[in-house]
Amino acid sequence: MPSDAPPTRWSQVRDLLDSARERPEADRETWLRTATEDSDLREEVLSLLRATSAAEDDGFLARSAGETAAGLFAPLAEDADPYVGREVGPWRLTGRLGEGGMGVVYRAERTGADFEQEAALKLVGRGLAPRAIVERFREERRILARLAHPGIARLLDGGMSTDGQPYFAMELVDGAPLTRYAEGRELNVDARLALFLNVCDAVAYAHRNLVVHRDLKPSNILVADDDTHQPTVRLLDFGIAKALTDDEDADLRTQTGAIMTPAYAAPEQVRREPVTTATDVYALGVVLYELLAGTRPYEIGPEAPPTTVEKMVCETDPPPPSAVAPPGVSSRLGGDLDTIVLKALEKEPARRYASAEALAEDLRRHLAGLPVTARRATVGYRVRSFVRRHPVGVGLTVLAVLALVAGLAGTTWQARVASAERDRAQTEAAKAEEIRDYVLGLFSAVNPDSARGREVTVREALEAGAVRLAGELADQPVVRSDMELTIALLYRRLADYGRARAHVDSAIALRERHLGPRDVQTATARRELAQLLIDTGDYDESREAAERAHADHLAALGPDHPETLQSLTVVGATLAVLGEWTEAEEAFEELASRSLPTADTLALSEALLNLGSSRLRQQRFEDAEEPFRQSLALRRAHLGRTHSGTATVMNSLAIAVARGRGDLDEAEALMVEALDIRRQLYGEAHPEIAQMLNSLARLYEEREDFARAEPVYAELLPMMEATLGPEHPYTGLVLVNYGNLLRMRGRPAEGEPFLRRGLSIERAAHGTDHPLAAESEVRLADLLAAMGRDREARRLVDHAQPILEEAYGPDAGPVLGAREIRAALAN
Amino acid sequence: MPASPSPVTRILADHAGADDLVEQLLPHVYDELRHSARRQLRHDANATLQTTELVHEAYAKLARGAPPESRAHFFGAAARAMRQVLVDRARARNAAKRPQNRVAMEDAPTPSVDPKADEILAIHDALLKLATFDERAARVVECRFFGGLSEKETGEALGISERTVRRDWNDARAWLHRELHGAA
Repeated sequence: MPSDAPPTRWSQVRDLLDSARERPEADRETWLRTATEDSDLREEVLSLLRATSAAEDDGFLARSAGETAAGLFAPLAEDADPYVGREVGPWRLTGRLGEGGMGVVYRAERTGADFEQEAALKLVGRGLAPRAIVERFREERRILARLAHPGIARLLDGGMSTDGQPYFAMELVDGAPLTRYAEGRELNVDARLALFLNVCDAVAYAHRNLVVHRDLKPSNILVADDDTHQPTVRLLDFGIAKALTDDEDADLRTQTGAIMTPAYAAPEQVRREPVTTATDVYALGVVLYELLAGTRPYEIGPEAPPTTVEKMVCETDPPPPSAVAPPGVSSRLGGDLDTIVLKALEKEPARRYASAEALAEDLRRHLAGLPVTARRATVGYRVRSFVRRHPVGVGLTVLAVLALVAGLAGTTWQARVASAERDRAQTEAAKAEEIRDYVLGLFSAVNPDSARGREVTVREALEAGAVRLAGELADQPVVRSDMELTIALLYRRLADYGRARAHVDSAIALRERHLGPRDVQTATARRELAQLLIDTGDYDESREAAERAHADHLAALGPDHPETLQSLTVVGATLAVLGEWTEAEEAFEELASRSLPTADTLALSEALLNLGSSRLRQQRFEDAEEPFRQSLALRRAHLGRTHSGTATVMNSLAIAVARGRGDLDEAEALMVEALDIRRQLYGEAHPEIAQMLNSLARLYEEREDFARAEPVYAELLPMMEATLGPEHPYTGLVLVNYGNLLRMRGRPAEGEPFLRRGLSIERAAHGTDHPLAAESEVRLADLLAAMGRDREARRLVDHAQPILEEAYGPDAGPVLGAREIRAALAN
Repeated sequence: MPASPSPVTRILADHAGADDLVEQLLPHVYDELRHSARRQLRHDANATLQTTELVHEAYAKLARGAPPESRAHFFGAAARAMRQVLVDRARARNAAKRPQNRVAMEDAPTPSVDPKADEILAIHDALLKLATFDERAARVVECRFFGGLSEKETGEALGISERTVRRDWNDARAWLHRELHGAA
């Protein structure tokens, strides 16, 4: 290849090239023949001379990168907003965050301060704020500024801009709306309730300060993961609705009198009756309904006429959440949760929970298996409630705790061993029983009767229990150490790592003193410490603890004992997080060679897969490669090569390899193998195989190896039609891609029918004005343009472009693509 | 007036001519250029990016009080930083352009779709290759194309004559054209 000329030869080439250039163009070739005998060298120089003319002709590099690439910094949505860049009070607006019913929200930074501060600044529409309300607005602002709760976004500042627009500056919160967050993480009902309880706590705090939110809805309840990956809830716009209106109860209405967010408005708001804390309870009820059932109690469109809204909100009884929830969730909702939600949604404010606190309390009672206040206390219900409280019930938090306790007490494995160890196992079981009673005691301290009027959290119960530990179990140090570990684990789950650490340390100290420093149980406690230290990010310390636990287990129990292997798993995990891949690999290999219970290996492999995936997400493609390889090695060893899990990791690894080192060869090999595995598992036609084929086709396209992509599509298409159906949107997508490929191969006429068929499927599936259909229209336009059918192409782009702009913003790829094609088509 | 010299001034005063000068200056210059590029285009989004101007402004701002003879060295580093700014932006742009809603079927690498970003990245990659056997010519392209420096400034930055700059430029440009667009 000429372009790979080695340096020595390159300097020869350059000498000849420079000399040739100094001669008239017509003489160059003749001159070259006299200058060198080497015909390859001559050819290389001539080739570069031709490239020189070609570069001259197309103006190659004639303009600097900044000139050709200005579009790289091209307009973002906010550039069009005249307010961006302006100053409002002590703030400079730096960008646009969004638009709400009451005004536009900007990202803002404080000007002229010694410290950096960012805020979300809401500029309220002028028409909504007559001069008369300014005083009132100032008063409200003082009250709101006092609200200081971790679950409530702080009001930083508020006032009037120089041209008379009221504004609020709030703490800037990153996060997803509550419902979307829960869906995105596929949270189960308990996790959703836990998040919702945090929302209630924040609202309850505001209610105690006599502030009513008045506009609670998922978009005002943001959830983000904190540094320790725990979800944290933050409420926006507390009390703003009230502060912005002069008419006590006319909030949430636009100038025309329409309600801004009818789906969450309480009957009294619709009827313009007085608003109380029970109004927020109603909105919380709607949010909880949506969070649990996946749909709102009433579907009210934003365009619904006021009379329809009033009728639905004030007169229609919503179905219980369990009646509309997906089948898997429905049974969990029936009973208590239905009752609680419907009580929050009562039409009559007086029949709802009086406050967010009361709603939260009932949810906590439900979680603890106690009778809820929302239900009339029939004998049957009390019995059911008692049964649920009893440890043989199912699905309760207490039982989840018990499972942990049993695991800690070492009964999980012992229970499985043969009769020879039965006596020992029984002792362990007895100990587990003791712990269980203790934990139940902890939870009975959360008795709402004894805690009326204040919140008793799991945390408080744990603290109370921890205090009791020292007193009641002073003469049973080993049992006490088990409980210390239990409490540590619970704190770890609550992400209170400081307290968790204190209790683990205490357990280790007790066991060291009473069982000996190298006892098996002491080692187990140390392993717990190692796991906690991974959570807190103290990897070096974690490694030390894990390695010591492993060494002691190894010495006492031998290399094949589950305890030893479990400790080795933790060693591997700490090495992995430390990035000590070579050593981690040794641990993984060791684990792979022993008969580890399959679940643990899978957990490790899953962890590695997650690690890799998280790096993929950060675009750290090269760093993602190693964990994927480790995960793949584990899966190959334990699941075997022919397993769908193995194929999944291969696919991820292929992406890492392709995007990271750009090794498309290996990526291809991995994809081909993964494809082969899925073929063996699923037979010849299966949606997962189709997906792999699609991946492979895209890879070939990336390599611009269109010739090889073509047969893949030829195989893929009938498979899509057979497995998903000829009208499935994915089939449409593949048809579009195939048509596009044929255009890339210079056969636009052949591609046209495929693209058209794909487009019509997408239109039927999503609607003619859907951005996906619009994207396909652009591709079709491009294809038609290639055949000189400019008029048709123009029509398509003109239809698609505004849709794409609307959907993705003016700056997005598909929009730029459309714009470019449009520009190439003269009018 | 500043009591102590800026970091850039200090580096230029202490290390002018050192082999790793570019690497030392890069982080300081990079941030400045990235910000000023954004600033320049904030007011007129359709304007072209005046890289030459940005580089000169950055020198005036960051290198106050530096020895005059170090100006050329600064320009060389600024061209490298400008290249990095543009390449990063082009990558970000391409990443942003991958249509998110098609991911379900397209978990394989997707081709990038921004021709301008692609061109910047292609030139960047080809320059990396050229640098393996003709580093000086690659630097000339970096200064002129990415930094927007004149032939004279490029010669001063690299310590070579303007005639050499011209020759390097011509040869590198021919090679790059063939590399990117194939043999004519």
